[in-house]
Amino acid sequence: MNTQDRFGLGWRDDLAAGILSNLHRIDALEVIADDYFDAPSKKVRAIRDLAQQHPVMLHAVSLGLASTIAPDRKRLAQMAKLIDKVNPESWSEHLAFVRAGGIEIGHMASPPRNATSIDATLANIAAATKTTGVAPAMENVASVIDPPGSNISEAAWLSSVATTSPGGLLLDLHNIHTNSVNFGYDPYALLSTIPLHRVKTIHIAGGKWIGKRILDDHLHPVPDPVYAMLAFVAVRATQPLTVILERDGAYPPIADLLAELDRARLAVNQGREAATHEYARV
Amino acid sequence: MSTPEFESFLARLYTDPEARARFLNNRIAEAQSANLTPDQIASLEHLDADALEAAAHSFTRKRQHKLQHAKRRWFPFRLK
Repeated sequence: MNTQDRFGLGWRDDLAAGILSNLHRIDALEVIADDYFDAPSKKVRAIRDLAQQHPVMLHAVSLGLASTIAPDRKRLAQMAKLIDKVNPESWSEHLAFVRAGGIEIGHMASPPRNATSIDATLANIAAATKTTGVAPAMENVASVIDPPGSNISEAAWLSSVATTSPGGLLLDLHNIHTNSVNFGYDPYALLSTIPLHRVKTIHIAGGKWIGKRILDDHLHPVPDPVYAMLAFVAVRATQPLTVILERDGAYPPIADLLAELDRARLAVNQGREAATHEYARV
Repeated sequence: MSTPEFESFLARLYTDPEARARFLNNRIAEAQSANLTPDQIASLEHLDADALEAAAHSFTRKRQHKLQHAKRRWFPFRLK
């Protein structure tokens, strides 16, 4: 067991009371950065105060760094300002594009997977790093549509970005589960390919079936395959991991979310134990 | 193969029902009208129409949710 592994929750205002009264069971919190770009200073100070007392990471959703279009300077500046004010442990963004040609998609769209998009994404990550002074961890995204214009696999594309990107990979296991179902690949083959040593943080969440596909809506409990993948990663990644449970609505009692965190803790510990036994046999 | 024009075309497909209908009615012509490259046009020929509709529906729901969220987010503070 790696005693430095941590298990936390995505901060949501609707969960605030439950989170604050159970901080002793929540090792870290992840705050949606964009919610604070134009927030009253009182709200930003509240997050800053929280970050002084408990590990807080900022998670951005609207920079659109996986794009051939350069990120919006104003948004990058807002991110830099927020990092400066809150002083989080780290920050992250998604490997997605969210706007193009003046059109706001409204959510994270999977980029076409090809050499051009890898180069453009790395350039945008470098620009974000330069503006904020801190390299973001980059998160793999889920999709119901296989992005057109792709000529390399998700595993190869992710590996290329994760290997080079200075902030490494934020590994979302429900997104891997979702894409493996939607596009018919073996999630364990992907997990065996990507550079797991570049992962510091893991997201877990739940979604729902829409016909023959899964939608990563963060409104449902974490499904069994995600816990199994979590244990698989814990066997192979020797570095300390921070696991964050994401829930974006249809909130259950906080006890249910804490129970999901306990199950994540169990899965990671089982993976660590298995790794220890494997090592002892060598 | 990725270009700003291609991403703009995808963004339009994901968000504009009329553009999506025109595309699904005549993919090649719609892609050619956006000045996409032959490789980009070819990649759109066999795009799963059902998946495209599912993605568009999901993005629409997210935009609506964000709009509602934005309306209520800082309201209590503005009263003071």
